[in-house]
Formats: sequence, C-alpha cells, structure tokens
Amino acid sequence: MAKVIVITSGKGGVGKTTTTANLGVGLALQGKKTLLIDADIGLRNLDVVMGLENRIVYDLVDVIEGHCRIRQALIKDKRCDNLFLLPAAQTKDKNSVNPEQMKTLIEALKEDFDFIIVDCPAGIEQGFKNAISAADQALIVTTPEISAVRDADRIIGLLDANEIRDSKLIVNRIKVDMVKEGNMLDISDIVDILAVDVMGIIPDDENIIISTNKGEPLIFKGSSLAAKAYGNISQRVIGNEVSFLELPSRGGIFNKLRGIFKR
Amino acid sequence: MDNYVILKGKEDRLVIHLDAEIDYETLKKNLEEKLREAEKFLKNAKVAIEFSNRSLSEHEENQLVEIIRRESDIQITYIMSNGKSFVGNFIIPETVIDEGVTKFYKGNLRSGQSVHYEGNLVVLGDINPGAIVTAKGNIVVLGYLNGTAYAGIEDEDEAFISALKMNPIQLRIGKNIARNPAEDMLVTNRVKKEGSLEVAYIKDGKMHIEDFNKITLRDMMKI
Repeated sequence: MAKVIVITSGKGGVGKTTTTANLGVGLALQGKKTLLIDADIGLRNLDVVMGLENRIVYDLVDVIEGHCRIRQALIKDKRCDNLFLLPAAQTKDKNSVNPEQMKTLIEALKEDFDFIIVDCPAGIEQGFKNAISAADQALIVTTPEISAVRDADRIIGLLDANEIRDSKLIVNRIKVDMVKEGNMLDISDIVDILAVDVMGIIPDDENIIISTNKGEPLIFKGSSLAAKAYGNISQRVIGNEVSFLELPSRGGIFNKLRGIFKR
Repeated sequence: MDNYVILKGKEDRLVIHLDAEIDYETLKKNLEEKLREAEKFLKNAKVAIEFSNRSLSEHEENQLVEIIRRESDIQITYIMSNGKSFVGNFIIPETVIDEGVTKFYKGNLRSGQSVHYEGNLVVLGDINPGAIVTAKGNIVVLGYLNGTAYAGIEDEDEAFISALKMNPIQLRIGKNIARNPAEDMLVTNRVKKEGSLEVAYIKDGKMHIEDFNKITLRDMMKI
C-alpha cells in the first residue's frame, strides 16, 4: 500500500512542483514504485517540469468523469523504472473535482505503488482541499521569506484541522550568504515560528531553472548541491537517516573584501 | 452534651454534620466542645473535611475552619462544601475580585486562526504572526504572543494582556492600539522562543509592555 504524501505550501512559486518532480524521481531511483499526481487542475505544470507534456492523452478529470480507465491516464516516465505521472486537466478548473472523488481515485491507486506524491496547487480553496483529501503526510515547502513562512503557518493549521498531523518542512532557496549577513530568515528562525521538523534544506541554485526549462528534473544529474539535497530528502522520506548538507558560502577573495568594506 | 454537631469518619474524610435549625453561635460552641471531646481520637490526622446538612456562608465556613484549627491538631487537606471542593490552606481571601468567566484554549494558534471569548481568555500555547485572539476581558498567553491580541473589546481600558514573551504585530486594549515599532519585518518575524512573563496594560492612558514582576503588578493595581 502506498504512502500518500502531499506537497503543499499555501504560497505560489516557492517550488512545490519542482520538489514534487525531484522527490518523485529520487524515490523511483531508490527502487520505489512512485506515482506523481498533479492536483493543480487548470494550471498544470508538473507534466512540463517532468518533460512529459507531449505524452498526455487522458488526464485526472477524464478519469474522474469516467472518460477513460485509470491505467490509460498514467504516463510512464521512460528515463527510469518505477515512475508514473497522472497529469491534471488544463481546460477545466478546480471545481470539476471534489475531495471525495479525489480520495476514491487515490485509494484505488494505492495498492499498486509504494509512494503517491500529490502536487498541491497554491491557495487554500477547493484545489487544496482536493489535494490533501487522501494524504497520509504533508511536506510543506517554504522559502526564507516572511510571506512564504506566514502562508506555511496557515497551511499547517489547516492540515492540523484536517487531521494531517505528520507535517514536515522543506526549506527551499536558502542563500547562505544572505543568511550569514542577517538579511534573510535562517532555518532556526523558520522552525521557531512553525514548530515542525525539517525534512530538507535546498540551496538556491540556478541549475533548477535550466533543468525546469529542459523538462529534466535536476536530480537525474546528481552533481549540484540542490540535486544532492533532493536526493537526501528522498532518502529521509523512505526512512533512512541522512545528515544535512554543509552549505558553503561563496567565500572567495572578492566577497571577503566586500565583507570588510561593509563594516 | 447537645448533638448539634456530629463528627463522622467517612472513607477519606471527616464529615461534620451540622444541625440545620439551631442558631449559629450555639453551633459554634457545640463544634468546639465536640472537637475537644474527640481530640484524642482525631490527634493530628491529615484529613479532608466536609460540612454537611447546613448551608454556610463563606464567612461562616471560614470561622468554623478557624475553630477546627484552634481546637484540634488535625491538618486539613481539603475543604468540601455543598459538593464543591477547593484546595486548602483554607485561608480564603475576602478581596477576591469576581472577574467573570474564563475560557482556557489549549493549542497553538497559527496564521489565519482566531479565538474569541466573551470573558477572559487563557491560551495555553503560542499565538503566531497572523493569528488573532480577542476577549471581552483579559488575555493571558502561557506561551509566545507574536500575533495580534485584543483585550477589553468593549472599550474596557482596565483589561490587560499577558504572555510568557511578546513580540506582537499589534495589541489593543479597550480603545488603545499599539503596533510593533520594528521597521524591519524580519525583526517582527524572528520569534526567538525564550524569556520571562510579559504584560501589556494601560497606565495614564498609555499602553505599557513590561516584564511582569512586583513593580508592574503594583503599577497595574494603580497603588
């Protein structure tokens, strides 16, 4: 039976879809049979980030409305074994599905997978309610910005109210140098506010944009720090203990000089 | 000897059965006699006591308790009367102010959550930025107040807000509003969870936020 994990954040643009894609590939590379579900109906992105857009025939709404069988809508990722995508519909909106239907759909898929990762839309309305309806656990993505942390706090409260208590935090786009200079919230500031365990810390990395544009999740090429961070999160999701990455500051003589002049 | 007072040992307590009709002074005398009589039997036992059969005013009950302390060596652990019980040391201050009903809310309040009560409110948990608590009376937060709190919503300037530590976005007491003076949003959103009890109250028409200690208490009482 699959463990159902929803990737959520409240705020948009913090990296939910990128996290879903990379975590999914990470789990599949560990030999776990994984299904990614895009719950962002009307604004689907996961298929694009995964580079699978051109293979979509049926989508989630087609399944729920009975236009096709579940299996017909699942897209197998050919780059690795064990990875499947159930894309969202692009021409419908969030209200074309309700939480009960979503739950029934996911329950029907549970038997065949080890992990089902649901990419939640931004916001706290219908789309959010659909996405969390079958979740066993939530991974809350936030960035070290006050607005993102505030929204994450709101989301944790709503998850709590929906009996999803096992929430963990992923802090995305940490800029080590900004944290050091005190211009950005650091991990402990965020944990002080949110009071939940941290599942992973991902450094800000331009390679993410490049990989998104290519439709190839960064974790496939595991050399960058962000890729390693996603690899570690996948390990922790499976239940392995992995220590957190040392995130180096840029250092270098130029930055050191700049540091001196700042004082 | 008259039997207006009957002492009975009952399971975990000493029941003091009082005659419902007899005048209070006679009752007091009779209690003294009975206690002296039973002194050897009671010794210095540690017991709960219960007055039964006669409804007593708070003042009367205090007097009877005082007699028991004077005339016997028993140590009273609890006093039960009319089905209610309260923990002794049985000195009941006569200046207890009736502040009305109080609600205890257990749990943290996160952004977007709110609690309101038509009385006093005690929150056993943290109030995060973006959460709001409002009360007709006072607000006591046994945790960290980093959100917004509004005490005395019906223009009650006497109300106060207290928290283990506060770095609130905004406080309101009665008609008074105080906002966090920090210009940098990072400051209001860094909520280091450490520190002592703090209190906000109105003095001379201005809101004061101070560590809670004897001096603040004196100022709050306007002595």
